[in-house]
Amino acid sequence: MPDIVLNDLTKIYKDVPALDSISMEVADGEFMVLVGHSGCGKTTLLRLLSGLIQPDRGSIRIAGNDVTCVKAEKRDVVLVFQESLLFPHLTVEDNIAFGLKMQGCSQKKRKQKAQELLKLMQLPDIGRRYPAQLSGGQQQRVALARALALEPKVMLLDEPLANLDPRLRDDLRELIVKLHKKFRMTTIMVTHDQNEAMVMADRIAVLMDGKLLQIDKPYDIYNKPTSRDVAALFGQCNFITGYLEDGVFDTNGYRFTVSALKKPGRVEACIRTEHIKLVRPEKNMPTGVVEDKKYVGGQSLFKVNIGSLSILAKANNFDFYTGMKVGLRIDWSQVFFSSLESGK
Amino acid sequence: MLMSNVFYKLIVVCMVIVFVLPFLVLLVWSFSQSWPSNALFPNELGLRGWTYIFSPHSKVLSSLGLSLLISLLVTGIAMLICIPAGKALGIYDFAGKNIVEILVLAPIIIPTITVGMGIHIVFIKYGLADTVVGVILIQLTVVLPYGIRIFASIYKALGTKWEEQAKVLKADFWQSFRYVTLPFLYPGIVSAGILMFNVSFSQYFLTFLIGGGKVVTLPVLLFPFVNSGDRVVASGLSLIFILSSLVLMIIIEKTVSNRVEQTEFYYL
Repeated sequence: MPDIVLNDLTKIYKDVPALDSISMEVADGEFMVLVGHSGCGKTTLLRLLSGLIQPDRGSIRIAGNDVTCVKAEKRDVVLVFQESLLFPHLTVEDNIAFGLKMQGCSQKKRKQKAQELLKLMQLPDIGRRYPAQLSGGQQQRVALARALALEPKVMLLDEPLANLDPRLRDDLRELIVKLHKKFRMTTIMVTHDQNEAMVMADRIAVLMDGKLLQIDKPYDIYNKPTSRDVAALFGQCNFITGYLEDGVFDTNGYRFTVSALKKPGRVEACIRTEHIKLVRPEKNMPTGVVEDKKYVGGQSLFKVNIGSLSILAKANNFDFYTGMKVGLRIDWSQVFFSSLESGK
Repeated sequence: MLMSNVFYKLIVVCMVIVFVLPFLVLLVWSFSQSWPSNALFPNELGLRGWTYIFSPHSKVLSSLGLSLLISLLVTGIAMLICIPAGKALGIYDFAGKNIVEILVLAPIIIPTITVGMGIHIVFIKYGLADTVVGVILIQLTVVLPYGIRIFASIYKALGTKWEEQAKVLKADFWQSFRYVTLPFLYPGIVSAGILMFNVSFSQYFLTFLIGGGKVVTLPVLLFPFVNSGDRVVASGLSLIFILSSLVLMIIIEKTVSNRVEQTEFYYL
């Protein structure tokens, strides 16, 4: 059963649509991640959902109720900002219990809840400290606890990991996933880090220039992108233009037999670096010279020159070296073609 | 290290000379009977000045009371106006914002005499001249620009993010002001309060003009003594003047800053 239903949601800033007719559904208890470049409207969407701003068009339904015009303080939605924004004049405990205090909970109940959440955040002993005395990672955890204290039906996270260094980021990421499993509240997180999105999401929604490009499971986003932009956003791609007809891709003097079912016409092939295998040169195979080699973790990224083209491919570190002649074996079943014909 | 120590001590000594010495001179003046201009020290000490000041017919205590009342009311009312006005100028964009900003500052840019003369005629028309209410109103116009400036810059630095955070945590308008915004404003309340109180407390010209000599505040009482050369009484009055505003400043500072547990939080 869908928990959040957005219909034709549009927000216009100074004549430019920040969000352009977004329609989507988020299921109850789902972990949805919004991905896109900065300025694509991710944060605007979260602010609309939280009720801080009102849409120019369209509607938001949460748990069956139309909340489009309901104020932020009346919605069962909590937004955690990118900055932790802990109130500096309140102790950690009072910060966590802030929402409960606003709802008129008793002092005893507030304290108990704060303690409980601090334990859950693995920060049991900092209740009496002030936010200025905490590290960045601790602050972000307290901000999460403060949001959880209200036990919201919907949790919105606006790049909660963006300001942390890599190790803390991994820890907090694990913690967020764990908390989501425990409480099962519908969660929408914004990030510009595709890896983060891949690891955490039940489903990923890709936004670009205020438009929803694709919404799918991480596996499908990666392996079955519906547009060039989505393909380019996740993983590293080689883009090669050519002509596709009857299962033959014609480019730069090479003809490849491919299984793609597309109308004949000019296309752009998106070939991921890991779908190209570097081998010893054989007949009927594009060959080139390794121009550059960069270590990236366990593997190396090779730049191979074939005529006028430069192709990036991943392979084991020591099998090839700069200046070596290599052949490329491309796994065409994994290649994504997008049409370049106008009016597609 | 030693050099900088000497340097700091020198600064302290200079401060003492600049701020405390005039005080001492006033103190000695107020306790002297006669002090000819060619003498380094007064010939004769006495309590003439202080006896006069504390005698009921001099009206010093009643005018001190009136001065405090007017200045506290002015500061209080100004505070209620400054905070929302500062928020409007600091955060929101609206048509004619620049003009409003200039108008708000006008009373301290344009000479007080111009402001006072213009308003005087209007006040006479509405029966506000020669009244305490009139004096409070005219002092408000002089005092407001300072407060509005201070709160506008605080609100500009704060932005809307804290209020939004409070809202998201289910605080309504007043709760968000009371529990989130107000603590950020405390330092501003201290400085704006002290500034506005002192501007109002030492206001002579406008009080005299609008009060028409009938609203006798401490500066209005003090001026004739300075003018007529009765230095003994004038010095005593000046001391009372300084001490009362000093005591008030300390009270404001203490009561308000106690609420802000985090001193490093005074960054605004």
